[in-house]
Amino acid sequence: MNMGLKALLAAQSKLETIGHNVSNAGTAGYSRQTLDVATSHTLRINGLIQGTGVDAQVVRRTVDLLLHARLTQQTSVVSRLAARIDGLSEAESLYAGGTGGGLNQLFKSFFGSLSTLSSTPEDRNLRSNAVQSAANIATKFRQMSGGAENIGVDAIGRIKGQVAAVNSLAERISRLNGQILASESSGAPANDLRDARELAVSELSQLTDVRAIEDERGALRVLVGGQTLVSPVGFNRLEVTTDGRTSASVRIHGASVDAAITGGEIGGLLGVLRDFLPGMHDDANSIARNFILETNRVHSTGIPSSGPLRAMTSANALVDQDNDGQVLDELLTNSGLPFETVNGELFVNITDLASGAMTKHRVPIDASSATVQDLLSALSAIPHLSASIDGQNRVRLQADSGFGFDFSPRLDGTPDEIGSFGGARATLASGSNGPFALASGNTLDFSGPLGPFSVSLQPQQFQNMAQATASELAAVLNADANFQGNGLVATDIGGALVVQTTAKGTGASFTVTAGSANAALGWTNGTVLQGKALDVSPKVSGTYTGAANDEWTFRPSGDGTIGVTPGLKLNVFDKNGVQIAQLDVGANYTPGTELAVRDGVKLALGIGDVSAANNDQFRLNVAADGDTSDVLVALGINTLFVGTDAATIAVRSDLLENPELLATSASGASGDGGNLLKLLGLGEAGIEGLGGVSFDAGISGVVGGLALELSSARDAAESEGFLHQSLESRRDQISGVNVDEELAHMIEAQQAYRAAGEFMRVVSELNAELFNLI
Amino acid sequence: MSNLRALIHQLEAYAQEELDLQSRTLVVLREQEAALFNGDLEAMRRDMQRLDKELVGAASRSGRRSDLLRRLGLEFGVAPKTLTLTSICTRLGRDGERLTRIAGELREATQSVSRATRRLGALGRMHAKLNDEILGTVLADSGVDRNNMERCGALLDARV
Repeated sequence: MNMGLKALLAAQSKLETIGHNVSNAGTAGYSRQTLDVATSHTLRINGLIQGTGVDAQVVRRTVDLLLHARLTQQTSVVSRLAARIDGLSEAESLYAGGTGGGLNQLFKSFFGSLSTLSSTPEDRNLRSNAVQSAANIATKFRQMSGGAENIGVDAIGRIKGQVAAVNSLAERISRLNGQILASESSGAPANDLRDARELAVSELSQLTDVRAIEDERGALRVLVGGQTLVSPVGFNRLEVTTDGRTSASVRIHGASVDAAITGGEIGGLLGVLRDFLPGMHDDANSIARNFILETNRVHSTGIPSSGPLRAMTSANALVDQDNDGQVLDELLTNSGLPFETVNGELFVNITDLASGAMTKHRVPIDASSATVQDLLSALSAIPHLSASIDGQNRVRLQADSGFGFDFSPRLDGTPDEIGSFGGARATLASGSNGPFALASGNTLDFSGPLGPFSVSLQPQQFQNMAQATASELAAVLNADANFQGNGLVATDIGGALVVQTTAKGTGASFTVTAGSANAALGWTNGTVLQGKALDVSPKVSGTYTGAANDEWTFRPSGDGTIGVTPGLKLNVFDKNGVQIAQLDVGANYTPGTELAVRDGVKLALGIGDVSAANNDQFRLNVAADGDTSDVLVALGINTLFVGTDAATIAVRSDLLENPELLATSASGASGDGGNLLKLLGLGEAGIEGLGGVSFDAGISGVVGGLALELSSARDAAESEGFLHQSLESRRDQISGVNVDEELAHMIEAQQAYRAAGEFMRVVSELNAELFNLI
Repeated sequence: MSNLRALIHQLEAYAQEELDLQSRTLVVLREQEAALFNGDLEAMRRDMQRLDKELVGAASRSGRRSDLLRRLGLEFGVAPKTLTLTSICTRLGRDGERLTRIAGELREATQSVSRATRRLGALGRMHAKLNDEILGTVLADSGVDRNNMERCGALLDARV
């Protein structure tokens, strides 16, 4: 009877195990359980050894611990990739899609609108379209910047939530550790508790990389990022440190270093923050910054359709770096401007709005030494222009009433304003450009209408007398009362000193009588200068097509009359003194006709006398770029865009309101779209700041790189996901419950029991007959 | 007398045959009991087939037994249904010693088979009852819509 009872109990345990399996078939993390049945102990009865049936020994989980560990690891990998794909997908949609299309499309639209406008630059609608296209690009950049920041904020928020989940799981695992230890102290495995713990570890692996080590007593130590999250006796909390926008780090409470989490969703999100977003920020900012720089370089030296500027305030404010209460003493290169100022030159054109006459002024910029004050002084020294600092430390330029200014590289149509080349005034120029080697006490002796006089030169009048400049010398002379009284004026023309009478015509004259400084200036004692009835008045036209800025000096080959003296030539020298052209202005030349100098520059001369002996000359600034120093871009004067990067870029507000301010012209002439063509050229040009590639290629590179990275992440996720599925499938094969199989097994047993019962009935009946016989 | 002797020999052969059968049945029942203990359905199925084979000859043996008893009844002049092996041995006296021994062994073997059968039957019924309860519980919770079986997947109550 006892044997039967034992068998029944064993069978009951077995069936209960099956029932437990079936009931938990849908329970996450449940491992199939089996009952171990063993023969009971034997008894010796009447010298015979008899069995006592069977006992249910232990219910075991069917698990492969190595497989489980591998699955945990793989879960971390898959979750990390999923989080990375989320971030990359958002970024891709930011770059390549969204309202108004991707950045590439907006750039194409912008340059397309410029192209359309270039045919009719005065068309107001087309100008509005072009400005709006520029505004669309700016908006897109800001969306990208804001979107990237949102990705960061979102990632940080998710990290915080997941860290909280990690801590909850750590607490659960720790609690299960204790329960398992207590439960298994009796010797029986705590299968369901172990399943629950493994499930918690599995959930943990979705959030972070996990390493779980079980000690000999059955307690689990869980390492996260190389640091202990759960120990056999307790658990530590994970903490997030973040700026809330762009960066986050995670560390175990009390640890001195961050946890090196690379797996799971947290690892993926940290990777997005650490590896991906900064690069995305940098790419967007780099493209935006270079776009601002290049378009502003062109735009700032163009002329709006409304004509030269009357007043302009810089968009960027200067910064009082040394905190002395003023910005004037700051170096241009260290005055808080968002773009760099370099050594170069700025051309300022002053236009008489009534007559249209323009004079061109060159302002050299020595970036290493020039202060804000130096720049303002140089600009204010230009006739009809004043430069000042407003209350917000911005530079304000103001033209005199009736005058306008611009910075275009257009040619000065009347370069010899003072008439130093065949002008009607009596004129003598230095034989060469300064600096001039003067000594203390040197004199320049003249004789004018009021008689002879001498100008004494003293060291205090020069920065370095041994290297006196034409400008310094002219200032000394012009300050001399006798010099002024005799109707003389001195001028610096491109480094050469020119002394002239203020009066014109044959009655005007002066003589260089003597002077110890004459030798330095290349003058000869006794030279008599006489005014002339006619003025050659050189006229320049055309558009300079050369690649670099230059200053050309025009000198006659000898003394003679333009259009009369046989063999009279006009030699043209570049700023290095190298002759670059020679024009026949002698008997074969018809005064007033245009001669092609070179690089698109044409020259016409009136009839008149020129003198090589008196160093007749005039200078012409030919500019490919009106501002090679980038000071206009740095200050934000006459720019298309304001801002410095993707987050701040915007079209200048007054330009947005009034598209007439779009600087489309290079010459100021009506219908001229020269500056538009330069802007258009940026569409295809290699941009130095982008490594020599065009904007289109730069954006394509970034978008393409993003797409490639996304594609790689997706490919990796697919293959890792497949491996994960494969591991899960193997786990299910080993540990999972096949309900159909379990139930079929039970039903089969049921049928077998019934069949056996039927046999027993038949055997009993037969035996009853036998008993009757016996 | 020679006819009676022949009938006795035939009865001894029949009893011996039943004794052998009971012994084999007992072995199968014990093996089946072990299979039941271990939940070894395959062994249970195999043992039932063996038992089935043994039971196949039961009808012919029953016919032979009835014929022998009828003929012995004629010899002894009594109704066949009143004859048992014990009464036949008493009638035969010293000539029935062998039959008496076989009958004793057969009684003991049959009692053993009866006990094994009862025990096994009881165990089987209890197993079936337990199994039935579990199946009932599981299948009742499985959400099977018996009115729409085609959409319910593979989990069916195959007991019905």
